[in-house]
Amino acid sequence: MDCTHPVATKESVDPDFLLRTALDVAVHTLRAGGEVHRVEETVERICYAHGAAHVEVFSINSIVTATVRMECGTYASHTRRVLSIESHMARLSRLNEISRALCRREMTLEEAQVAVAEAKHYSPFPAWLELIGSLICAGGFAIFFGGSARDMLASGLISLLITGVIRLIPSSFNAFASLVLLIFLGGLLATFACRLQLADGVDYIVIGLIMPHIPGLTFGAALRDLLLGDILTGLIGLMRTLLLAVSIAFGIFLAFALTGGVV
Amino acid sequence: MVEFLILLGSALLGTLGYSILLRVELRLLPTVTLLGVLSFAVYALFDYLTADLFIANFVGALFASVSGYLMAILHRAPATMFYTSAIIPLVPGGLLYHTMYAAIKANGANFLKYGRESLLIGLGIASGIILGVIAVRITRDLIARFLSCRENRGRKI
Repeated sequence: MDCTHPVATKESVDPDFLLRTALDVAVHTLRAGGEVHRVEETVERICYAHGAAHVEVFSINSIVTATVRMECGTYASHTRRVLSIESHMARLSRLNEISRALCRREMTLEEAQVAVAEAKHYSPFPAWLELIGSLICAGGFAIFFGGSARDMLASGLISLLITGVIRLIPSSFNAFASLVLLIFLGGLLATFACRLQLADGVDYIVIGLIMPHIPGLTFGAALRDLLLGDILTGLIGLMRTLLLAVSIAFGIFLAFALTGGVV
Repeated sequence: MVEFLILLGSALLGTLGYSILLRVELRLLPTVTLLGVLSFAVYALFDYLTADLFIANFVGALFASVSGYLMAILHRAPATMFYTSAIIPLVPGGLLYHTMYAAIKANGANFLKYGRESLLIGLGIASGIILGVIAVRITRDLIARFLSCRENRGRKI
């Protein structure tokens, strides 16, 4: 299996190990919210930097498949399934650094394996700060879209509460069902807050709550992928946008149906 | 003026909170938040000048995209981190909420009105990002070509 690349290195590179390492970096990049074209570039660059003669990569949001052939004719082919994607920019940044280091050959494949294992559990701050983030985000956008100071406070506190509750749900739980539950709870609490005269506008509270989940960015990313030539990824993104919008609408519908509509 | 400052302040809070939810690294939080506020300011300026939703969002997203790529080069971090957060104040949350609300209330006229505007803004944002990506790639290639030309000329001498 081993062969020596004549240009990039004198050490022997096992194509299977090389591809496994490149895919580890690429798959975790995709899971952390990296773009599909970046994932494909990552595999190609790492493999070529370690002496590959030919690399073929294909990726969509849920799968990465790649084949690498070395100068001596040995080759390896792998497919990885990506079950869930979450936006985790700090991990994305770490994986980007690993990828750069591998391409410049400042890191060995063995070191990269260890670094990826560390990066996939990396968090830049404690979980409680993420709860504060949800409070600031919902509160800020409630006032941004025209709400009062009371709406800002209500939206922030409700967001803090429901984000805390949602975190108790296991990650294996369906993402769309989690979103419906989150919006339903938020809509319910927003309506009660207004009925109890604690806030002024249900609309503004709910808008603040849904802003981090709204598919506007997913829609923009899907269109970008479509127009840049990643047609399958773009279409999947558009379908995901539609499902997210339907989930949010369904959550709002459930909450308002139960409470009798906007006060 | 006071209203605009409140908008900027709330855009700052919203972007900061959203960036924390995206788990942007602490050292980059101020940069990312500032980009969000500036993108919204650019959007507001063009909205005032043109009164056109598409153009205002397009220019706002273009600014977010190009400045995001520049910051990515400066901080050696993925551009996604910068422009994803910077674009959040442009996302038509209110319009999308009203579109969805009209849908569940079976109000066809409002659904079409708000839905059309949301779509227009979405297209404006996407076009802005795409143009930004293309502009940065072309500029980067031109600079690389210029530098390699200079190196080659140096060798001949």
